[in-house]
Amino acid sequence: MPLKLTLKPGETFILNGAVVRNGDRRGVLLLENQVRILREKDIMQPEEATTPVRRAYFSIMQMYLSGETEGKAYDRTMRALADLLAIIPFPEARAAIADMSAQVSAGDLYKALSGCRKLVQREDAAGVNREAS
Amino acid sequence: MPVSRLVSRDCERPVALAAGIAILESGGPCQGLEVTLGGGCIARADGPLGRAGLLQRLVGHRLLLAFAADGPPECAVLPARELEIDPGTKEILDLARPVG
Repeated sequence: MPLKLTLKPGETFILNGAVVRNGDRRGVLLLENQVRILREKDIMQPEEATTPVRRAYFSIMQMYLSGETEGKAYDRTMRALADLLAIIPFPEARAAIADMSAQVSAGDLYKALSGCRKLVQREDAAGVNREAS
Repeated sequence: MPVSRLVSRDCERPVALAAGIAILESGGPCQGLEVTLGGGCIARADGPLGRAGLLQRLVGHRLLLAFAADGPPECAVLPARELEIDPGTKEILDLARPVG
């Protein structure tokens, strides 16, 4: 079943590493096969990676964008997840980090990114200072 | 149980994390090897680094699970780490910045 993507005018997304920008009208795309896609709202720029949770998201996002599942990219993400475990005391969040580790290690980067996005959203909702890294 | 017997018996179905690491470290076959990581995730030697890549991921995950099992931290101090950015990713992100 294709993935239907409705785009706002000027909206950007990244498709298998290619940066694609919509024109000046709303647009609809149907993706017929499985690709690595990241919508504008889910793109994190380096200057936004200001907390350990955001750094973990950024690391997983880099893997997802590049399609790399091993080597340096993997080590970098696992260090970021270990850093999270070093500061997060909540059992539910620690279990979520262990799940992300399994997903990253299985190469299921989309799921890991989705899980980490939830942690970012919870952090934002809790008003964690984004300037404090 | 000898690792060679683990290989012949378990390669038809996913093996546990510790068994998967033991198989790879002892030089057992990685083709067809499937390792359960928890949460329904399965690791295979399907990346560009093959056997070495699978072993890296299995050992990395085992280490992280050990950290997680250690329990909550007593003090929350992190070493200062520079954010590492791949040049290729940087180019993509620069191009993806909002315009106007």
